[in-house]
Amino acid sequence: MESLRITDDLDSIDPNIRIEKHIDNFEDTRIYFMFYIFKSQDAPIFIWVSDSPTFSTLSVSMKIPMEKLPITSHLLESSSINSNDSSNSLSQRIVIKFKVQTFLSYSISQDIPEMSHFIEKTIFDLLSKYLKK
Amino acid sequence: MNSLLIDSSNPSFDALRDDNLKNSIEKSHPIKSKVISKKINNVDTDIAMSCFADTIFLTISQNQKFNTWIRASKSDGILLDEPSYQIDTLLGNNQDVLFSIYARQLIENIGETSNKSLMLSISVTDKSKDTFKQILSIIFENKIW
Repeated sequence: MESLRITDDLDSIDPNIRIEKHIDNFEDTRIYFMFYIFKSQDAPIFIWVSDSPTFSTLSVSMKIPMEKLPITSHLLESSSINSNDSSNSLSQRIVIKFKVQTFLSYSISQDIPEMSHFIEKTIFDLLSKYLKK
Repeated sequence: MNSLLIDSSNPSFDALRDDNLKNSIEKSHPIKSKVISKKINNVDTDIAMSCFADTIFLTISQNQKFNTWIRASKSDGILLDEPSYQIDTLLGNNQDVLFSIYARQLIENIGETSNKSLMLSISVTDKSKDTFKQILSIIFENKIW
């Protein structure tokens, strides 16, 4: 490949995307959150939530006219079926509430209903704050 | 010593507190990230990078969408000393060779210093060679792996 020229002379612009991060604790477990949010109201969002710093799953959910509930497709599957189920229902509820296409990377090693509920509530609270800005 | 009065009803105090909290989260969050936004050939281009323990997640967007998602990884060559690369389109346009070329250039660069995979989300409206070169330049000059 030809040598690439230095790009210092390119104009910087106000970013159209921002990355929001959050850390929370559920009992003894530290849970990490990260959100990619575009400026446009209708733009898709990306959410990563995990108790370890890895990227091991990815699903996409969106509303389509032919179905009552948003459809979900797993692009990168976790070996844990439970993780897939939690992530399915969570991403569908995010799409219903916030009306945006949602890419979700959800990887929590423990399958505790109260933890899943806590994570969902945290995501909803954070998105309500982030999507208002 | 002058006393320092902090007026907690002052909006700038809230902003300062929020900034401090954000800085504190940034320091203790395990994922390092960076956003670079430039005008390339008159098109607003946003590049976001996040460094996971096993993956480099790169987003390149010129229209505030994620669109095509590609996963790439490097493995040792079986017969030759040259490594081999696996490029898979997970979602979106798998006919456009340009996106595979982006992924291949990026995973080769990542593979020089680590065994991490690449997760690329790419949505470019300007598919010119010049834009391709400039986007890759920006990424390589600002890489976080």
